[in-house]
Amino acid sequence: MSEAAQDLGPNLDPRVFDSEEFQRDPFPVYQQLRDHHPIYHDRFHNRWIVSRYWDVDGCFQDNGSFDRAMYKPDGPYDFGSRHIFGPNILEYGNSDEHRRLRNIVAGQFVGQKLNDFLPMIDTIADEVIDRFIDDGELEVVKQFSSQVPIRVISNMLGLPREDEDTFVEWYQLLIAGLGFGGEHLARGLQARNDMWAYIDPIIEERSKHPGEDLLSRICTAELDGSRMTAEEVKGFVALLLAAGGDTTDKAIANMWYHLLYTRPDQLQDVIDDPSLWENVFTEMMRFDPVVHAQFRFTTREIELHNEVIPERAGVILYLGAGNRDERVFKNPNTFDIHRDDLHMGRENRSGRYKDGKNGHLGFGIGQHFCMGYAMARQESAIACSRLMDRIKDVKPKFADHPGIIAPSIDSGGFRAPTELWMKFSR
Amino acid sequence: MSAVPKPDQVVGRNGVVIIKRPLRDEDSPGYRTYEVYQRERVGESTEKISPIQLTSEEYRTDPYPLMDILRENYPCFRDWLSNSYWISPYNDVTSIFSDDANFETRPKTWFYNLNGFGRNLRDELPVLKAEESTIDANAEAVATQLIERMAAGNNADLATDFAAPFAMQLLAIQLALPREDFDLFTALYWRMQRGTSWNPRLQEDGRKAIDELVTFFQPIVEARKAAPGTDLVSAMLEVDSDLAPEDVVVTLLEGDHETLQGALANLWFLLLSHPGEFEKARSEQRLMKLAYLETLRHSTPVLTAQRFARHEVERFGRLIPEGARLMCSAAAANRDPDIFNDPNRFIADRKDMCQREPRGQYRADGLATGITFGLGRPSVHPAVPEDRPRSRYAITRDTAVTASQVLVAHLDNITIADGATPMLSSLTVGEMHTCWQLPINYQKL
Repeated sequence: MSEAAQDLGPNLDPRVFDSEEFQRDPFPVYQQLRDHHPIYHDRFHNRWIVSRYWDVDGCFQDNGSFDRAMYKPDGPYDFGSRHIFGPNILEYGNSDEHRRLRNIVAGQFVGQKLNDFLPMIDTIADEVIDRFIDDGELEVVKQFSSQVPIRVISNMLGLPREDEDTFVEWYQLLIAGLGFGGEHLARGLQARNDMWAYIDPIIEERSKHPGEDLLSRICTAELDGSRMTAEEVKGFVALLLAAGGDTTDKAIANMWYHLLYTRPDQLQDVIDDPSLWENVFTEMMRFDPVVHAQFRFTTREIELHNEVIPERAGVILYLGAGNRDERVFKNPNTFDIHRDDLHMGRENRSGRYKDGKNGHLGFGIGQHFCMGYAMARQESAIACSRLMDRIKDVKPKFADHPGIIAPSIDSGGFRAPTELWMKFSR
Repeated sequence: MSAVPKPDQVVGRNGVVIIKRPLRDEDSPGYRTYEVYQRERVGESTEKISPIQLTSEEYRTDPYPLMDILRENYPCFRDWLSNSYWISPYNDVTSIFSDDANFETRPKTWFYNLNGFGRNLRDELPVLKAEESTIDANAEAVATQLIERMAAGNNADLATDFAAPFAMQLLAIQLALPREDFDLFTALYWRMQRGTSWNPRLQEDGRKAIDELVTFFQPIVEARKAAPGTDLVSAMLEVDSDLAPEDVVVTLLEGDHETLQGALANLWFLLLSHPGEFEKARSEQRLMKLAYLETLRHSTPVLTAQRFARHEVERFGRLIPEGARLMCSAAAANRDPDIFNDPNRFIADRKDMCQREPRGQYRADGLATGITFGLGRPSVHPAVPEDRPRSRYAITRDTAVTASQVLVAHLDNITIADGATPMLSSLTVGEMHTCWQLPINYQKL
């Protein structure tokens, strides 16, 4: 519910960012950053940190000064060539190439094209629920949240249903490989190569004989006569499986966690009015989103709060900290799905809304705003309300829960509970 | 004129022909050589080391096993955690030092965010001359005085009673400070130097120390203006008669005088833990000098130097982005088995090491030197007539050797005190790696 963040004062040892306690509960440190170091030069990790809501927002908006890529678009680097996903738009920074690739596919994940796929989410959720519905208890992470999004995506792509379990495995390895190297990276690359070998002939087939599935649409989507190459399609599919699957997976687990443990008193509200699942999603994305940080590189000297960030410096935008900024949200440390100072409806990449309220920063803002925002929101809400439709008397199986954690810095991945047990009756 | 290049050749502006490697096949998306290298060489995995180990307790005490892993497996290691690149093979590290066009050294004032605060005058000729003359005139006397005080008993600590006070007293005397101010000056100086580390508390403290040092030097600068002497401040006034106390402080900040302590303590730590080598070194001055050079190779007090890429540049199979921080590891390079035989052994009279300048790119005898940071560098005045001062590297080396000779001349049967287990360590990761306590037993000669 409401945790009063403890005041740690201005002294901040940068080693805290590597600590387990920060992985478990970063919010007191965020508070310290916002209150005492709106710009924090972390010399231990050679980076700068921005943490207040309007600063994070401003940096996201300022494409001219903050580049997502480490390398310059006009330099000699072959973007994407050494990323675990293969060539994909995440690495292209703010370049024209990024804009081209993004524009080709972005339209597939919103509006009518997205609506085409929505009925399928219900079907898949039902199939997953059937597996445990008679058990009377459920481990949300393993049995539900990690199962639905990846199956939805592979279905959208029109991949053979009998291979779904293999995709689940691949995508878990890919995600682990996104971290800081080690054996995770080796296994992730192996999974990527296996997946590419599997998907190569399918891409060739769909390019020649496109169907109605998403993979065909991606293969044939054109913008000003430009299509993605086969390499780019593969990279994008890897990205889609991992980034599109994993984040939604963890979002669903986080939503259930907050209703079961953070705010059990609001669980009944959601049961009474399933449309509130969208509010649960939005407030979760503010309170403790799946992704807490984005990295940027400055392209010029930045003056902010009487500090100067030099050119080509690494900057962390802590959107998880901006979301708890008391300068923007009342009682920011309280989870409340009826919050009246948060824009509750669909997000957009400008971060500006007609209702005059401020949105969460969980999807980022601006040029690199999450492309799957609408899908993630719809999919989470539909899957959760489908589950809620079919069960009743929901309560946590254990009174205590270790809480949401970020995995160790060596393994990569996003913030979510590792296990979440609940009891229910049919 | 050079010949017309073949299609697979590129001729650089200087006429050097570079062979352009063919792409692996025509349909490939056109990865360049370094990308191929990267994929194949790393297998794109770095499972033998995790970046958090490079800031761990293990690195703070004994970085050498970790550096071996880097050098043997990941010669240019992308450290995501610390947002830097670790360079570890000897030839790679030295290639960066001689490449001012692509890599820059940032002054300590940059780390303090003190741009424009004061000027660094330490490479001005009058300052170099004064440094040489004052240090030569006083080194032996300061060492003798410290050792005579030790000789009154039969046990002492070589790190705290000898190496540390020797370096700082010598500097205070070079500045002609009154003796009652030595302790105050030493404390302020150390706080200022430690403030350049990553630790925000040390930096805040160091920032205060800088202000206190400015106040401290204010009257001294005025006094030297009125009555110049032969000290360093007077030499700075010779460069600029409008000298501000900030200039003195910045000159001292960039000076690294405290690393002399690290070199001396490491030398004696190694000598005492290798009695055979100690016997050699004490036998003649030439061998003591070699032992000092071998110390800088085997256990250099400053483990890494940071360089920053001036622009995007391809090196070591990677594309280094502009502004990237390169951690050039002397610890790794100095124990490179491709360069030094049996690199982990301390051999006072090593035959496969050059005995000249310290930076590796000068291989006067065709041999590599140990790489050292913070202990002086080649003179920036190579063309000045014969009365030019020795390079700062040579001055520091001679000073350390002189002090060690004095020690040998006054004390006999020097051994590590019973039960003591001295070791090398840094106070925090990234700081000087030296022996902070070295208790010894001895007899007066």
